[in-house]
Amino acid sequence: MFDIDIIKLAWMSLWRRKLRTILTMVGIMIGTAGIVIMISLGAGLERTITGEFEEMNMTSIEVYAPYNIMGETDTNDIKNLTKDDVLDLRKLDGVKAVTPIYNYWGELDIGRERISGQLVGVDMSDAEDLGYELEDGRFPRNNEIIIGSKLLEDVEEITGNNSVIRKAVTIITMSMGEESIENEYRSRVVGTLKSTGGNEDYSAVMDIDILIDMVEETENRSNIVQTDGYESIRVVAENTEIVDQLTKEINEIGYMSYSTQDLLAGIGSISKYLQIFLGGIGSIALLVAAIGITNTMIMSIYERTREIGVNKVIGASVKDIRNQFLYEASFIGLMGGVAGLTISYVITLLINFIAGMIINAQAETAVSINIAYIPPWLAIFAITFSIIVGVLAGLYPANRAAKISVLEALRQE
Amino acid sequence: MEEIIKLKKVSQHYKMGDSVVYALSEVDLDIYSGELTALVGPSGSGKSTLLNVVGGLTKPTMGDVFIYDTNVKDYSENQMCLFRREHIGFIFQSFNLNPTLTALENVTMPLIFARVDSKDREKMANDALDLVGLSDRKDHKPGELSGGQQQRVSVARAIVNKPKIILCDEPTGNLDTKTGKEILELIKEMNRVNQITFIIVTHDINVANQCQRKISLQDGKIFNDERN
Ligand SMILES: Nc1ncnc2c1ncn2[C@@H]1O[C@H](COP(=O)(O)OP(=O)(O)OP(=O)(O)O)[C@@H](O)[C@H]1O
Ligand SMILES: [Mg+2]
Repeated sequence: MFDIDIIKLAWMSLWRRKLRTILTMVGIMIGTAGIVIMISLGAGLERTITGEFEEMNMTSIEVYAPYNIMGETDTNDIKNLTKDDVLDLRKLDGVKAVTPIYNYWGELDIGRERISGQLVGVDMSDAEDLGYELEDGRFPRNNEIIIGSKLLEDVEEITGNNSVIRKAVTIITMSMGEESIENEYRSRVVGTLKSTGGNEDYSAVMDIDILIDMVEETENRSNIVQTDGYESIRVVAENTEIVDQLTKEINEIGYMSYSTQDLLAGIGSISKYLQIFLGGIGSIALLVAAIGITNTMIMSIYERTREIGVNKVIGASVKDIRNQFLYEASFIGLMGGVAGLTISYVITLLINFIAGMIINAQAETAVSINIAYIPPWLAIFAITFSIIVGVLAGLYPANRAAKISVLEALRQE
Repeated sequence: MEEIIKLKKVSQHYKMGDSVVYALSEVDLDIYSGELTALVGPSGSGKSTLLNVVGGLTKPTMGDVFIYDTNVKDYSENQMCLFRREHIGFIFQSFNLNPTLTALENVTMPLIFARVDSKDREKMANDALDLVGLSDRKDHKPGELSGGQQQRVSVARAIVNKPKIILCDEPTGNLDTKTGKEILELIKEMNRVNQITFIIVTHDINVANQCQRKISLQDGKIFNDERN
């Protein structure tokens, strides 16, 4: 199948016309790089997002109080999320568990170190049904806490100690009012949580009623649930199939809610469209490049008519001539593809580097960002595709070259 | 002596608008193995056409062309290429060398198309160039060679595959008298030593007189055929 002698001839004749070969190749290179970079942006986005959401509970629905655009006159009577709302939501069909969620800012003293983190209160009596999984230890009782996976990393790094379980901690609640008051509560870490992909990862999680007691004491107020309401209510459906239906029902009551599924589906389809759109632009660039190859090859045939005729006289078969030109075209495609892929790698590195700088400057943390990502299939696809483009672009010129009449070719000067 | 080329009532017609040009009309011809034949005649008499028909570069409108005992008239273009590869060499007036390749590379080309093993190629091409007396110009490109030297390269290219038939269309036409003589001597030597059958189209009566046989064409017909 591979005729090494004809391949060598093809290579030699490209080499003889280095400049033109390179210029033609540049077209393919740009086209391939265009497609690869654009698809890699989409792929990177998708990977980042799905990576972020992978651990999330696909059956959970986050419920919020409706945002009142129209002001006080709105007929909607749900203003704050309270215990009644929790009870109402629990009554819905297909609900497995419901918990109110309350967040408060605080700090933890572990050993001699002080670590800031969020305090998240949930209904600990239902922890397992809510989808919380323990990495280690047990769920808390009374005012004990468990630590989210990301917070655990911080704690281990700062204390230099990787067994926080059963360690005594002091929870420091801080009121954010006019005068800041701090209260301290002696507590104990009893477990660590598996990642949920949510807020809990960065938080110390404890029972909501106890957290609210602490907050009321710190701020010296009572009934804060009645006045401020919960942050949100999390509804966990019995299975993934009914999540959509349940979300709709909850919204019909008048809440604002969305499920992790919604979020993923939305982002997934945006990224799909983005990839198709960007890949399309690259494809057009490649099409233009393909026309470039065809054009160059036809020019080359005009110039080489005599050479082709002579080669036929001295023993080249029709197939030899055709194959030589096809190989030339596919070499241009292959080299363009490899060059395009190479710059794509460089450019994606640059994109990720720059994006990382911008994001890290704002977030003051060191996150490694993968906005653009070239999966292996994309690299293989890019090379294969550019070779195919080369071959297709070379088909017409190659057949034309093969059909050249010897006598007419020899008559040409 | 056996007949190596046999033409039977070969005609070549070209339609030019309403009129028809009879480049060859009903030519019968036998060429014997090892013969050195000159083909002469006025311009337009059909000499090149006859040569091209024998070499399979063009198909006759009518008639049969036997080489050995094969009627190549029925061959497809591709079959003809493969046949030519093995049996027929060509030498042209204007050399028709590839200007981008060295002498050695030019001579190697037929071996590449004939799929000769790459190990043997270089030796065969070198031998051919030695035979035509170009041992010291192997790495020169045609542009760096004189006309006579270029024609030697094309002789080497024609013989490298060891064909039994070599067709020459005015091989001395672009050369001065002295260089032309040298090329003819080379051809005569190839004919004598290697028993290659040559047909030489020429306008040069001196060249024709040195061949064993002289065929004269006029208006597409053989009107004289004599042996010296
Ligand atoms: N492709 C063609 N189309 C039309 N007519 C052609 C073609 N090829 C040759 N002829 C005609 O056929 C006749 C013979 O041509 P040919 O080339 O064989 O002559 P020749 O004997 O080689 O002449 P010269 O000595 O000038 O080379 C001429 O009249 C020529 O015009
Ligand atoms: Mg002629």
